[in-house]
Amino acid sequence: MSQRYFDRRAGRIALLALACVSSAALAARAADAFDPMSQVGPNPVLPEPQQYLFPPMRLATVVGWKQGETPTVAAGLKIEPLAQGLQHPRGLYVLPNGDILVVESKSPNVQPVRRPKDIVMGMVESWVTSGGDTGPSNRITLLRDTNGDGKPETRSVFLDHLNSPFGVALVGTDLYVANTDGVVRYPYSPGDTRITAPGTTLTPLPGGPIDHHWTKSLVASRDGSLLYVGVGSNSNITENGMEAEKNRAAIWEVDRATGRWRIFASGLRNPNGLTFEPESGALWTVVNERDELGPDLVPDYMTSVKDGGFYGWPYSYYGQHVDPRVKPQRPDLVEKAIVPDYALSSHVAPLGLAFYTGDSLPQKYRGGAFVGEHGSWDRPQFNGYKVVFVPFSGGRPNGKAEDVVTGFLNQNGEARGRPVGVAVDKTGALLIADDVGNTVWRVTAAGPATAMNGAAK
Amino acid sequence: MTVHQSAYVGSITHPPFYPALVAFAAACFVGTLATDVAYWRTADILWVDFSDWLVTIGVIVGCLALIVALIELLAFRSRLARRPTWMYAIGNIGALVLGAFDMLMHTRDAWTAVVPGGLVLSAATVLVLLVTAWMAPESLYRAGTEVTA
Repeated sequence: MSQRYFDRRAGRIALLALACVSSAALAARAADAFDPMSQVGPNPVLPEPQQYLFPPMRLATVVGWKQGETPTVAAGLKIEPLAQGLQHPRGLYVLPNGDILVVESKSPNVQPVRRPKDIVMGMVESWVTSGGDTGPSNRITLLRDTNGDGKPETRSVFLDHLNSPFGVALVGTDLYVANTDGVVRYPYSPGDTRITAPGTTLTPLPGGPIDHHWTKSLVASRDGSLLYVGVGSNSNITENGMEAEKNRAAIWEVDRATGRWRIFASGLRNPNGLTFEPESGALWTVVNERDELGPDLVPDYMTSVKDGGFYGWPYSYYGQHVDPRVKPQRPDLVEKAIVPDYALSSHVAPLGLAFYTGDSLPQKYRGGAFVGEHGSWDRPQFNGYKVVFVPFSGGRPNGKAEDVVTGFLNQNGEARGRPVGVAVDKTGALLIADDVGNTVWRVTAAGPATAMNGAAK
Repeated sequence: MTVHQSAYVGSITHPPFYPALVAFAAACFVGTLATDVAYWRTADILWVDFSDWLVTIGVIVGCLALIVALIELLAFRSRLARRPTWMYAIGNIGALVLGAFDMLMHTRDAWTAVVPGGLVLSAATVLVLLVTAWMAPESLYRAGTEVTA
């Protein structure tokens, strides 16, 4: 009889244990009353950091775009697909003759499993990365739309068998592709629809064996003598060891003639969208900040980048807010950490940045910045999953970011697409690479008058 | 004659399997404490990777031990040579619950996975295991006593 009593007790204790663990998980998913818009602008509200036994997460199941479905655009604009059925398009580059390069790229998937969490996070990422089989990817597709009607007459594989490429830059007849493990140069002649010549590595970049943030953004200086490369960190917050972070979380400056490089700026966790602001000539980037300090920390941001500047990662964020997860700390570096220029809200994951230099979109967009926000996973409510516009004046952000292209999530919170790279084509239309929807979208002005203005260019 | 036979039936009881699993899980939790201390003293990320594996395997094997124990106690009740005492069961389940929280704590990144929360939970887990082993050893060491009945 005591034996039977024991069995019942043991069962009850086991249930209680299970209840304890799962209620801890539920508590972490508590409602989030914080306004994410209070973290858009030069002075974001920064709540106290929180740490979890089970960090709040919400993942958008991939459903893709049905026939005829498109994202939603702001008033005065219209959107159409420029190309569909691509293989995980992430980057866009417009050549001088108007040809559009679509960089199709997949994660190198070389990251070794160092701990059990890597297995779980690997599964999580595979659920939300892309809909279905996107083929081998890792290539660049050329789209040629000579008459600017948004319907390319030519579509060709421009470069194939690349190693997780992301950034592209053309200087004269030298076309540079930033693979995850190096900047490679190819010979290019205007009008080429395919490059068959083998590439020459200009500068190797930190790739494996661990290659956590693998997208290498690329831009050439205005005089063409230098290249700037974004090299993301090798971890969320140093959990792969400091040795793995050597020369990472930085923007490199590469001498185009020799391939010699130096660290131009550091402390930038995952800098992407490197672009020169047209009015001031300053280098700008969008940065993905750290995770797992709460749904509203740390806001991702866009910032001008100063030569020799240190922007905090991993030791601190937004200047002197020290991250408790990093040991040993570096008070000397925290002290000089620069506060970024403009916050974009937490976990929106900005990956694309383009200043609007065209003139076919409505007047208010001129000179401002479009930002592609890939969207959140590390918070209970979605944030990002849209393209926003940040007005600029005098080379500085001037006003609140506004939504330009939304609807990448459907009403059930499923991902039809996710925006990454943005660019402006020769007609002044905004292009958006959608890596989950496998589409390049083209945003033009609504209404016949402005459309003709665009086509006339 | 019949008396002899019933004595013979008593001798076919078999030792349970779950204590071996309990011992395996306990060794993992002790290891977790050791590597947590090493990380705390050195800040070398290598040690916290060891801790992550040890605590996770400890929890998985601990859950397996609980399932095997329940099966053995319910299905083979009459033929089981040794039965756990209350203290043994409560102590080990308590250690498993602490270990499960410790595992979640260790999914954090870098320093705060261990200091202070992970280290405290690892130490508490080992402490509960030690107290359990001290207070409730009979179920493990009284092997064969019931066979003589």
